[in-house]
Amino acid sequence: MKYLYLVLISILFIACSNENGSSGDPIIPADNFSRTNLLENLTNNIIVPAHINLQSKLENLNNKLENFTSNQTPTNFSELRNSYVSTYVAWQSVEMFNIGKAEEINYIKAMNTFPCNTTKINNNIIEQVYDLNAANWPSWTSQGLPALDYLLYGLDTDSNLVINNYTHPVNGNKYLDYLNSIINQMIINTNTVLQYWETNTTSFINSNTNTSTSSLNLLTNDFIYYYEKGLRANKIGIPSGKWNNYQIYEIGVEAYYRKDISKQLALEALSACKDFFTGVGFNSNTIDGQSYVDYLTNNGDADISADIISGLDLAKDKINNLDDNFRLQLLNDNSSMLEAYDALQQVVVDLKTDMLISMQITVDYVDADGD
Amino acid sequence: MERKNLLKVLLLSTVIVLSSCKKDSPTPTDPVDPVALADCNEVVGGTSLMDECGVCQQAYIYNVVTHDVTFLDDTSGVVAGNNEMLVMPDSPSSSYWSNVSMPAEFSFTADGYNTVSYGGQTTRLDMASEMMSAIASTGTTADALMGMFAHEAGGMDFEDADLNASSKQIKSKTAAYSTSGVQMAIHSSFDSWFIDYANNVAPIIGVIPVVDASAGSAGMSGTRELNAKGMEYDQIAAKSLIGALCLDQVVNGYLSDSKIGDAVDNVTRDPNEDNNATAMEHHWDEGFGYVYGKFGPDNVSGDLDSDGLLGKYLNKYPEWNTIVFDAFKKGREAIVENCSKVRDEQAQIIKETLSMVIAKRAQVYLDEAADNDDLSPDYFHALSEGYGFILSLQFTYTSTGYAYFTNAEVNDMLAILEAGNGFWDRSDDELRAMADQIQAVTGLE
Repeated sequence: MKYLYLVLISILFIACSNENGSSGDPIIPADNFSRTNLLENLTNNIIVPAHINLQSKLENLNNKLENFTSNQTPTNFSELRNSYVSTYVAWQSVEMFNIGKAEEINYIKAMNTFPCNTTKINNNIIEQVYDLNAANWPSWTSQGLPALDYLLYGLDTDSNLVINNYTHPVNGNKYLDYLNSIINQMIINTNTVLQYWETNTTSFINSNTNTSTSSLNLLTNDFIYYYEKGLRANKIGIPSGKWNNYQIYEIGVEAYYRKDISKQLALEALSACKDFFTGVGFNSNTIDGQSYVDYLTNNGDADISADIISGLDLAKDKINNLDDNFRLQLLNDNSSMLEAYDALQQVVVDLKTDMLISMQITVDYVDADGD
Repeated sequence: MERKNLLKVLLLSTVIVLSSCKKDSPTPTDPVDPVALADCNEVVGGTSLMDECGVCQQAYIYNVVTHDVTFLDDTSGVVAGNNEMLVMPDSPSSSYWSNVSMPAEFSFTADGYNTVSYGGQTTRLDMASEMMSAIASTGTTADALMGMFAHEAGGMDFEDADLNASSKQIKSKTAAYSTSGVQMAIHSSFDSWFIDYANNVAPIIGVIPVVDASAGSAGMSGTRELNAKGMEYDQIAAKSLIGALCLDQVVNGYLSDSKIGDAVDNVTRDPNEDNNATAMEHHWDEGFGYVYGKFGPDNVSGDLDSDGLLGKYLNKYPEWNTIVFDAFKKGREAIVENCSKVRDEQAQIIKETLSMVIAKRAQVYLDEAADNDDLSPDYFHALSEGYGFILSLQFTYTSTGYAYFTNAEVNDMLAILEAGNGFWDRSDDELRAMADQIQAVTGLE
């Protein structure tokens, strides 16, 4: 019924509009904002550059891996580790785009499902039998960045001794092989997804209608879903026990084994969300095109975007207050983690109700709140 | 129905077209204030009227033979020709005029099947009910109470096997829309009540000779079992849950924009999910369940006789009960008819009326405690009920969009009640002053 309503509105709209001549156009949004202009900025200046950046970090990671494979020196290991950190940082600007090919190949799950399953990883290493393309949890929890985190920092209780696993006379090659497999898998997946974006940029941008499968509807829903699940829940809510009577869940912290980058990753993710919302280009750090802020302003809802921006800034302050190492923060003072959670949650309401209502977009996912 | 909607849509679309086209045309100069004389279509002297769903409806001429419809900005001087009839916008024969009807029962169907379900709410109300009897029984341990409060599927926490099998939980839904810090503090209060009850109150129940309650010592006051501060825990816990669970879930949860606002899916139906209801319909029904769900499924007539929590107290105010039940029915019908305006109006009525029940009870019990014989069983009982309703005030939702009292204000009131030896030390004047403080904010007689 709603569908029909939009069809009719659009047909009649076109009838008296001098901007949009083609009568074969499908449903266009009931506001006069150009979704194409917004999609153009988001796609060309944020989505594609963020994926290219990740791809280059992964290439660098692969180079460091090759060095380490041929020569297992502490220096080469250290460079490999540093490259892992910059890859994880780059990932924070990509995770929200679970669309098209990414969704089809379960890219997000394969890249960053944490905590990883160390038993499964250890088995994979020793048995050397596994399928990283399998679309199931045992596969997702044994690859990607969390598995890399474990392989580079978690193989021994003393992180300085981790390298010994790779120099081990009997099993060392098996560890190197697995490291190679999961990095290779991340590269293949990322290349596939980037290729999708580069191939489909034009059609994605030109899908300017307002249906449940239109580009902006998908992108916006994915953005909010990521903010709610990937950022708010996974990085802060679950570790702080928000849904488990505030029992802290240390191993649920992102980059659990590396320890001291969990805050950095959360801040990167938050900053990526703000840039996405305000339309700031990934490389340029300037706004070169239309943004959600412009959309809301066009609809007379500038106050909503102001609320969202100030909410995101407050959340940033709250996260900044936390220890670099969320594991320590949980153990010492979970209430500050929860304050950060609350600040993040505040913005969910603005995004998921006010913004979506203004843009006439329907939520396409259900929150698992147990009825 | 389908045809009627189609026509509505056509009309609405026409309205939008007309208004959007008009923007480009030069505004005619008019000596009279056009706003004062314009109808909802901005036609000066026009005959269009705004219907209940906020859609501006025009009069039209209907040809009974060809079924052609000609819309009119203004009917003055218009005469219907052969086989034609002039239909005014709000005429009962208008196909477009929307008046969301109020169904007689809380029963709604799609594709011929009932879409209403709120089993999760019934389950939680049943869990609360068992928990309340446990916290007035001898031999209850703190672990048993905490198990009921934070039940997990398969845990043998309840006598009812169905409850044990359920994955529903009370605790996670208690103060669920407060900040984490507030929610955690309220959860801790419940836990501390459970521990104090199990350690100090349960052991003195039924003991012979009777252990009399006194200032600073748990014991019996008549049939009431009190802690050292004179607090009766089943009352404290039950009345706190009325606000922190039932009311909060309705007013801050299911009837909020994030659950029933325009961004929520009101189209998709899946026979395997939520009884084939849309997400929006189901959220509304879940809200209904926290008030009317103790009855079990299909409480089509709003029966509250079996309820022990929010519904029980709503039932004490028949007028408010009618208002709330009617609003639940009409709002649900508005969702079925996609009429946001009526839906939101009815949601607001429900939120405010249920909040009034809480505030009224807090005030009534404080006054009652002051009126009762000092330090009598009835005094302790009334004040214990009052304590829980005061705690519940922070979950209310008023016309301002905020609660009558904030968490901090509520905590101040509770601290006054608990000061020193708690209820043993309260003067009638103190209690009346607190009742007046509440009355001053709510304005309820």
